[in-house]
Amino acid sequence: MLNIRDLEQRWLRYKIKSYIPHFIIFISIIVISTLTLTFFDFDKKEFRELPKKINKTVTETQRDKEIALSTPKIVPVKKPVEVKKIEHNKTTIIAPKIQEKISSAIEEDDILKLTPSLNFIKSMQHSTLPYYKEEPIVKTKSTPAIVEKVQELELVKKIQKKTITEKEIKRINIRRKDASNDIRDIIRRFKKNNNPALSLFLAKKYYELEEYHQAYNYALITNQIDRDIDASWIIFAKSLVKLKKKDMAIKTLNQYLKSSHSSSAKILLDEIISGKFK
Amino acid sequence: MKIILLFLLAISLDANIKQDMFNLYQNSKYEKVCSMGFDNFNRNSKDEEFISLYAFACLNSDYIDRLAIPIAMLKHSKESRSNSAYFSVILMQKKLLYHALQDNYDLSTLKLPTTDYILSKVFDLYSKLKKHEPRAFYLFEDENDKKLTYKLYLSKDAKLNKMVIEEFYDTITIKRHVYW
Repeated sequence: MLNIRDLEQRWLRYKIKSYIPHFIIFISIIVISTLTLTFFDFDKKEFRELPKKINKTVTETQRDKEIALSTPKIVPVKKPVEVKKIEHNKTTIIAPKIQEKISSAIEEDDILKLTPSLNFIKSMQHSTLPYYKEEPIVKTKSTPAIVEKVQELELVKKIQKKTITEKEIKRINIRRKDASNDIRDIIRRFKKNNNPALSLFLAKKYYELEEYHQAYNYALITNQIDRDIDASWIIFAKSLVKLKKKDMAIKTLNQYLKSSHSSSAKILLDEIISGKFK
Repeated sequence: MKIILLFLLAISLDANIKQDMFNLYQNSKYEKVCSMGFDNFNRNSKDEEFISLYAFACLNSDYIDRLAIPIAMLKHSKESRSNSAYFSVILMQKKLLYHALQDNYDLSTLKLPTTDYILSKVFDLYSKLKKHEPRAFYLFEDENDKKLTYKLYLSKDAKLNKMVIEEFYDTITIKRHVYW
């Protein structure tokens, strides 16, 4: 007796094996064709415009050639000089004042400023996955409470961990800053040597970036290190006003003025009281 | 069959490199992006996004000489052409400033376009000086922010002198750029 089952299985395996190469070739063709289409789509657009450009350049070059051919081989040296002179005279005769104006305007104008174009980064952002950020992962206030719960309940750990990760993923805020690299570098240096000049710089920089909480923090640190720095008290008061704590700003400035008699602090206090500084 | 699989694998690897470079760039790891771009340049020499990313990373990590190839390659779109012009101005200013510092070449007669890059700022400030005797260092004040100052000098070395630009804010060193 023939073992039909075994034969059938073997036949099936044989059939599958015979189809695998066809299947792989089919997929690879699809992938390659899509890639080539996407790769050369841009080139095609340019290619359509190319003939026009080529025609233009060809006609221009032909004209140039014709001019070159029509001109005699031995060119007298004096002629072009004369022509140049005439052109120069013409322009000076026609509009000397205008020319002077133009040249002075050019001198007065600022030098041409080139700026980088970073649109390619935007397009890359759209086409790629969201990037990770190492330091500024800002969690919401509710996250520590969840952590505490995990510590209390041991049995439900696994389930809670999952929920935390889900919530963390949802609450990640990624911020992009241009000056962040410099600030990070200075923070690192400040942590090393606790120099009040560095913390003052950070306070000022954060104030410029309109991050008043951070400006307040670094001004406070500077005041703790050295109480006699005028600028840090001013930044401290200014950031308090910006954080809508005007009364506290007035109080601290009054206290500071008792010990220092700083004129700039006095001016700022008057401006805050009168409402000039908001 | 193996060739096709290898081809597909190579394509996916290339895409990964670009993605990795982009992630690193977003995390301000410019030096790493520049070296990655340098290593994989030949494989991606037709991808203008890749070239731009590589060039900006090298610019931010002060590898100005590496801009020479992107300057030549970026030409197919309006954006890349403008970036190419931007890089070429910076590269030229670097070369001219180095020449001026080393050989006392007079830059006061030149009128070049400028950029927002540190080297361009220092170049503009230096070129405002009339012909002068070479100095040990130059201190320039920023035109927009008086607290910001730039110190330009040559750090002398047995092999090759290097041009150094130090940025100061209220006498605090913010950054140090070294070019050669």
